[in-house]
Amino acid sequence: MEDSIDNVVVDGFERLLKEQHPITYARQAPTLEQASQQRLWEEFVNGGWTDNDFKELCQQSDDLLLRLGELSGYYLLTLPLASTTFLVQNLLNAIAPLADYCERFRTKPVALGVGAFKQSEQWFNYHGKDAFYMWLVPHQRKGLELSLYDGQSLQVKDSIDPSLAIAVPTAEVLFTYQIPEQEARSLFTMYQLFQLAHLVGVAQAALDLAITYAKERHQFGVAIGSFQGIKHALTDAWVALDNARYALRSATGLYNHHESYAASLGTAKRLAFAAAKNATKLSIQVHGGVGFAWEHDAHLFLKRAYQVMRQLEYTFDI
Amino acid sequence: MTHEESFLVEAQSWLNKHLAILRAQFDSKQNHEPECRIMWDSMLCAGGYVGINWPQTLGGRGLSIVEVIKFHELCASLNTPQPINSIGHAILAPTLLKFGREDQLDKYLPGILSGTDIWCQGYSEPASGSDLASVKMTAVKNADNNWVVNGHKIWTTQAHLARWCFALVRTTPKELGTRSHSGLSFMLIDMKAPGVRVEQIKQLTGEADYNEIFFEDVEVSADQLLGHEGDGWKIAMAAAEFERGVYFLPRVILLEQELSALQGELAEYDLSATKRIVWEEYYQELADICQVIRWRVERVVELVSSGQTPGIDGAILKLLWSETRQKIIEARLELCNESALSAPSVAADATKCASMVRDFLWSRAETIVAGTTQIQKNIIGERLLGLPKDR
Repeated sequence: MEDSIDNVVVDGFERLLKEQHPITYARQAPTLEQASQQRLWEEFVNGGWTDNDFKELCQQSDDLLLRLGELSGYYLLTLPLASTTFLVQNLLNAIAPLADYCERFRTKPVALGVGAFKQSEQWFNYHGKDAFYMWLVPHQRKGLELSLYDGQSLQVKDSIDPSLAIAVPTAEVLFTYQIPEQEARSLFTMYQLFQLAHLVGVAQAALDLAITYAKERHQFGVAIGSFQGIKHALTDAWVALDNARYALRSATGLYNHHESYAASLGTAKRLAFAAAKNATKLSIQVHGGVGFAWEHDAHLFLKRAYQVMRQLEYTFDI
Repeated sequence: MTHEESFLVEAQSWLNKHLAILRAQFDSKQNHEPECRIMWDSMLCAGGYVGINWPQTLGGRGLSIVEVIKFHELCASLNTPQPINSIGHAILAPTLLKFGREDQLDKYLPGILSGTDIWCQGYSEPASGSDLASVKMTAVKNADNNWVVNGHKIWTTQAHLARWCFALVRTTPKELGTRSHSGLSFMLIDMKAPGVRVEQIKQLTGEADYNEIFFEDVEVSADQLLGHEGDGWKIAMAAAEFERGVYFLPRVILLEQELSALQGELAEYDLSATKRIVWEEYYQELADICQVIRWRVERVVELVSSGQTPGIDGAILKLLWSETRQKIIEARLELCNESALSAPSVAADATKCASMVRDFLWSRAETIVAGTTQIQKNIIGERLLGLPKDR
């Protein structure tokens, strides 16, 4: 029964992304200033993808969160679903003063950044002026310092990832709060797992492109995928991604605060990072010259993978 | 307490007692030595720990595959040797039980149960290694309707000790246009039959477990064919599945013990701070992959316990396990410094590093035997990713 509910949810999410957020759409780096992106966000909100019930549904299922995370990476999602659904919901529960923002958070996307204390070194994925931006500074043994920014006050810059610009804060924060260490740790688990799955999905999409190409592209009279130099590299990359999935599935035990799964999360992070770096680079290599061309999609996956890893890295310092 | 639970309690107590008897003669560093493995095989047979899941009518205990897996898990945790007839126990016996006729079960199983009949596996030939389907050893029917076998097998483990050999032989000549898999049959050959000659091959470890077998006009009775004529490939593939399914868990336990030993050795080793960081990162990498191997073997055990075959999961497991084992042993050897130069022959002196040298040298075989790394990757790439074959 649980499986069939999961499948309905996953199918619905995939259909939504396939129809409204294909790679060609992600390529345009859409922001909330565009009506199409605004509509898509409204679909997320109205469809219940950002509310607490959905978060709880994910908590009840071993791999629903992971399957959705993978799909978000596979289609290079350009909206901050993970931070809005899996982090903000937790923050609202944990931080009483944030309740003032509760109503506004209900309909607005909230992007997350984690890392440097200095404002001049802070950055976010940019989703438009209509989003909120939340910066978290990890302090060892002290927890997290939260700063909330308005989308209006950010300065937009091009980033390595052409499907997601970045933005830096230029004005005062709207709100700050110190989150104690104990609470800080448990805030991140679902977000981290979703984003690690997102990374695996990005890498899987890159790898699928390469596998398809290796079957179609002929050189020396045969499909290049028949050469062991290519076949084995693709196989290694596939097994490495699958290894990361095993670790991610094990780490889902952390949802419900089973600390014994903490080691699995570390393993999942290391395996997913290594597998994603390998698969996204390999995809370009297997495609040869055309893989180096801007018009081809291979580079989009490489760039998204590196941007996600940079963002995620700091969350593991907590 | 259920019948299954009481079996495990009894097994634990039996193992404790009999392992102590074995250890009085051979310490654990001698686990790989034939004399130690022969003694352990005899003890398992005498204790009734072979044929755990065989039907009681055939002399087994009539338990399930789950108890077999648990027993081997127990053995591995106690670091017991591998019995000398493990090929008979793990590959031939389940294959016989699946494909054998009643008269064949009656003829061959008692020797495995009592430990009198050691089996070897006659697959590889000088010109047929990874390309197993290309075997050339022939079997032709004579006037008495028996088979006359001619050919040459190689890399045959324990052939010099074996009473029987199960072999892939070509009963229909390979003709142009036919698949090389067809025309192969699975034959049970008496190693004492006239015309069978065995020559040992010294391995790079200095030991000689491998052999060549020459078959010159060896007459094999018609009832020594397992399954039907031409079923050889199907039966050989099923036999390989048994090995990858049930018997992989002990290897994973051994791997975890080796990883844990590496961790201990690293903690004791005098390293500069910089080198320690590098080593610790490498250790973490190995520990991560060992953890994945553990998750994967649990999945395979789950499949086998529910009556399924491990299939591609078995190939991935073998690939990861063999490559990781090589890395862990090499890392441990590196921590031996100059002692890593000891010849494996001094392993009997019980110096830890000498046995490490032996393990390191032996570990080179792990990515070659039972389907090379390259063959495993072909299997995964072609069956799972749908990539084209290179022929």
